[in-house]
Amino acid sequence: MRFDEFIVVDSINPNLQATTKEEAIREMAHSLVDAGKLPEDDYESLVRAIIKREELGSTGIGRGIAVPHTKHPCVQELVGTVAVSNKGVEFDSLDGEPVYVMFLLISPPNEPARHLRALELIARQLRNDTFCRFLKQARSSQDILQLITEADNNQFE
Amino acid sequence: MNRLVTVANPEGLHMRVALMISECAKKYNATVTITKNTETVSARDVLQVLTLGAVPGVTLTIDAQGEQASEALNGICALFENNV
Repeated sequence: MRFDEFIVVDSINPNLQATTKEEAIREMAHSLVDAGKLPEDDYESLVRAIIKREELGSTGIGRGIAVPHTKHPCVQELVGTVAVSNKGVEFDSLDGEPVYVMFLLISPPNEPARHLRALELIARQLRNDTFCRFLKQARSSQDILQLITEADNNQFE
Repeated sequence: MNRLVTVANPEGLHMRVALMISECAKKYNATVTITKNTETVSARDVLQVLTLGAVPGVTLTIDAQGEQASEALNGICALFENNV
């Protein structure tokens, strides 16, 4: 799988304002609404589903990374966005550290395989220290888009 | 020592499962790895476990070395046997 199969370019956020987990989830989900990829009417229900999933265990998996996600019938296919925070977000991460890079994934209820492949891709790329560091340092949507495009072209391997 | 396990969870080895594996591996004084085909990762590292992208039905090799290798192997394999 490639980032360009699910990351909504118009929703990429290089300067997340939120500093708490719920605010960050809200801001990212709203960027998908603003990009026309999620119906406004489903916004609250979607945010609640993502937060409910976080209550089962934080998706802040350390190294300044979080991958909040949920299944929701408001999408027909996997959609995702990426946000970078300059200030850091308190995300109840495994290592107790703030989060600086977040990928939000929303899958239709019946497509666990594509969700798994997206997680695999994100994990594989973020395991690369150079990609991870550059992403945290990105300060414009164009910077982030360029990095994920380079990752799609295997330029970090 | 090592053992083969099969991923039975219908959603595959997703994030919550990867976290359970990682937390379990960290409890023991042992080096635990998971191998899928030719790729071997540390069971302690959630990010590495996720890179396996292990779908339902796939066979994995769990390997444990060290003082508590046997306990670690039993602990990790029990997670798979319970369809985590």
